[in-house]
Amino acid sequence: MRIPRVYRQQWDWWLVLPALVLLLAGVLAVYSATHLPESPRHGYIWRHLLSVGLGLGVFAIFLFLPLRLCEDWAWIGYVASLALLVLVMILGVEEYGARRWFRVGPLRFQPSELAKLALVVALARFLAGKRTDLARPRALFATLGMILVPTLLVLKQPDLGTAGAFPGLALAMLVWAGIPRPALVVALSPLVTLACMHYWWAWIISLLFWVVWFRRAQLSWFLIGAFMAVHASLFFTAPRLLTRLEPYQQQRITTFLNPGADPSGAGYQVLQSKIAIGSGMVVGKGYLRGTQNVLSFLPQQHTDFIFSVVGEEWGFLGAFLVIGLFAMLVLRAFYLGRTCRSPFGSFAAMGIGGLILYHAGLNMAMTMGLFPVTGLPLPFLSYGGSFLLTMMAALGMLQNIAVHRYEY
Amino acid sequence: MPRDFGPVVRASRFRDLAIVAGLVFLALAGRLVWLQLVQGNRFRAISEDNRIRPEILRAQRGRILDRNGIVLADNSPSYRLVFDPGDRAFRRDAAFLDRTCVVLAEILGKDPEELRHQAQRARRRQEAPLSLARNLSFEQLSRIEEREELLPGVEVQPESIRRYPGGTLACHALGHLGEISEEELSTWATRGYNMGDLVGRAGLERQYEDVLRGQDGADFVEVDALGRRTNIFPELPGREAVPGNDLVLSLDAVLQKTAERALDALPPFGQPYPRTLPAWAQRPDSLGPSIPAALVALDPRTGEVLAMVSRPAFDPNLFVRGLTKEDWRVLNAPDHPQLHRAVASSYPPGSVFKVFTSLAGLESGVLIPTRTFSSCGGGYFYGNRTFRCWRKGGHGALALSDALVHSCDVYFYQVGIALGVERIGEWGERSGITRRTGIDLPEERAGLIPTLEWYHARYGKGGFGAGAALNLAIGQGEVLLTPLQIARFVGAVAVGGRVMRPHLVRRVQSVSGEVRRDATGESWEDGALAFSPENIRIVAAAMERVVMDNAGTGTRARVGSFRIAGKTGTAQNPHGNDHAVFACFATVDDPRLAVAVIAEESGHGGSVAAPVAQRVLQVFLTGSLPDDAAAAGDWEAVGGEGD
Repeated sequence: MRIPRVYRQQWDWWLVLPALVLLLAGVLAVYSATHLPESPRHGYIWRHLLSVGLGLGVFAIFLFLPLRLCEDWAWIGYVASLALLVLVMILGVEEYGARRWFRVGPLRFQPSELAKLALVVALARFLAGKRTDLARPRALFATLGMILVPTLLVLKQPDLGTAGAFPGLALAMLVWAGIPRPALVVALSPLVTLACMHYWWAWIISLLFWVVWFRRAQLSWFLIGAFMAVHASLFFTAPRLLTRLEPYQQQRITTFLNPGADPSGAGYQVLQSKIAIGSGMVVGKGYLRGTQNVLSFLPQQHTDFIFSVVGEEWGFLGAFLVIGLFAMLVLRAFYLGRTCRSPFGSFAAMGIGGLILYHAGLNMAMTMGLFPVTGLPLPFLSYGGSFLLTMMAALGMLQNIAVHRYEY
Repeated sequence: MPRDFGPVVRASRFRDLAIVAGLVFLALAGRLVWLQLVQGNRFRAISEDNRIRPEILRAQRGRILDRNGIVLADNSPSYRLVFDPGDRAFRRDAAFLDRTCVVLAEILGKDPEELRHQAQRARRRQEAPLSLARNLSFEQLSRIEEREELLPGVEVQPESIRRYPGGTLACHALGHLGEISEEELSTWATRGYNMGDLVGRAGLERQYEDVLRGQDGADFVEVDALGRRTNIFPELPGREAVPGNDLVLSLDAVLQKTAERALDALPPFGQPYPRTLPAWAQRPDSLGPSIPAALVALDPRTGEVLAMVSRPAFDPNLFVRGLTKEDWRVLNAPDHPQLHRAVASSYPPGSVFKVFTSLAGLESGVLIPTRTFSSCGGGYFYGNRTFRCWRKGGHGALALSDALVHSCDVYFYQVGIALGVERIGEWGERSGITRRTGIDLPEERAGLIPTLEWYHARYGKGGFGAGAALNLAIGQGEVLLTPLQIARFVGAVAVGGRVMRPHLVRRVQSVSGEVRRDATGESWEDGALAFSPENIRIVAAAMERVVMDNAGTGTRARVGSFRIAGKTGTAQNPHGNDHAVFACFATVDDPRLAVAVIAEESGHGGSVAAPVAQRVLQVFLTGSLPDDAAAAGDWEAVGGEGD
């Protein structure tokens, strides 16, 4: 098979190069975090290399997959990913009190990762549709529904960090779709309800505010009712979901909402992570010479806290480079979205850019103590197959979009 | 797509997005500058010289109480020794560590070479401090105190250890603790376990681990260059430990003790019950050879288990102290003292199973209570061999009730033939008696009443002998039931067919007595036997005659004039002497207790197992022991004092 010439002419190194460097840094850092024979994850580097290898394969697949095909299959992919999310609640393996994984023999697979990509594609198709106009409530509510369904399903697992990725990536696409400012407020309104979860009076006040505001905007009572119904169900189900959990799970969520509440768990991890990063100073302690990781202070050092290894061993130079590479990647994705001529590709690029921004930004903020700890891996660096494969697929699609960006 | 999606709009929206992304990364970079460039020195110092350690405040494990508040498991204060080879004092002088290890090894009675090796390794890897010994003696404590100067990095920490004041009392039901393994530590990381934690390994301790353990707290201490704690770390406030919840069991310690003593009095094969208790059995926490046996006593109306014994027993206190080689040998003796026979061993029920066969026969219409089968002359010829009745002289022609009273095998052979393997298997499944009972113990196993498919799978189609049905009908061959299942079954017969799920926990309450869960208010109904109440009444009436009729096989279970119903069994054991089996309930007009007893290789159910049940029934019904048992000094204070 001959590779079409566009792939050589339009190949976008600005995209691939940062990703490759990050991937390499990830391999080195995962090795550093797990190489000691006494580490409980000793030997994980081989599995990580296997994931990277598979990831490159997935990258290639999405690189050559015709975008038209993605667009045609968007709905099927979306529905299938939701079905998997429902299925995992029944058939998934339980770990740390959450059901997130399917297990087939030695392989494990996390359907919520797939769902992120499926949402990008489905939203891209929907928003790129000729008749979709977000200024009209019907389209707006349909969009919100599309986002909310996978979010709630993942929230129920429970997996807060991943659940947030859906609205996170969608936000970039909504902005790109030119969502009117008021509509953006509506789109973000569920956050208000969640924040008021434990204070019903505050919630009532917020509801009154919405009613007044909507009436002034002359919205129909039907739509206001639908809006209220969504919020009421969120308000009443969210705490129920939380209290049905085991105490230690509840505690993690309380920690999420109120970081001061649990110093021994997440707070302690963050402190250790901050010490690790801070102690790296300008040039770091040198590769494989980090001390915090040896102390096994950080149980998730090879996954969610991988950035602390980078910061400790390579210092400011290394960590800053990683931040810079992520910035390049995200901005390039947005730039591609801007220049891509096909509406579908343009939206998809924005979604993928949003996805990377959400993960990278939140993960690094979390490891540096700027944000409460939620389980959230760092793209291209963290150990963990499903997520790495998803990100490589996203990268492949992005490069695919880049290559074809001047085609309609 | 909105119409105004031209290049100008694109540029402005791209700018919005790029600004947001730029701000995010700028904030991250700023934070990095702060952590690494501004605060770098401080963090470098913390990571190298000083160390912040969480000092774990261990939560008090919940107690386990019997239904009347008698303590079956609680905690007692003790001290453990923690040693940090990474202490600053050893940094300058590596030989100092070796010397310290020698002193420590001497005090603790350990191998100095091994300890030195362990310490060196821990220091190299900068591990958390080692927990070297638990439950330090006073002598050890004072010697450590004396040589404090020579022992930097050594800390004596108070902790509370698990205590089972009753010794072996209800040991199998309570279970025991064990130190957490490294594998569990990594898979349970988020559940707040720490190195050196003790977790439930068996029995209720394991089943209710999450209820009992509570939640550890922590203080964060900054340790200075000399390894002394300087202060509680200011950036992280500590957290109090939350004690675990108490379990209030349905077990009755007095009845439990009675049952244990009754089983300890089992004689060697061929001798009369009870044997005089040997010297070891006179001591309350003694352990000695005893005959493998099991007993379950439960309330058939609610499913509450009042006594549950397996023999031989073990002392769960051993696990807390750390096992010596000798302990290990005792715990893993060939007669499996750790095996909870009452729920995890299944036995052929022998003639006790005739209760089931009778019900299945009545329900299928193959037997009519007043009708007799061919007369019993001591055996029955079927296929190409003779199936013997246990009584060589034969019973003559009997109807159902008399056949049960005399436990006539020939009668039930004929019921078995009439039913056939297929229907016996079907009734086994429909009545659900071999199902796991769902008791709140992790060890439980299911029983077996083979179905036709089972036989086909096992021996091939038609590959099993024509005699299978005959053997099944008298509870031999492949039928297997746990003592708990037998007790549940006779209990269901006692209350007209309602099956209750056996359970051990009545209440979960906090340390302050606040009730967290009240099992007495929950529904424990778990289906019903598939037999009609009328047929159950017929069989129950016959079971009453087994005990109350002078010709019955179960007369030794009588307690005064209480109306007790039961059935004896003597199960043939291909590997040795017969197992003695007895199952009963009391009383017929007001069923409050169902008891199942199995004594391995002990002979006849009527002469060995029934008197065991009788002691339990006597204490339950009258509140006092039989005179002979009281005289033998069986009656002792039970367990610890409750409050």
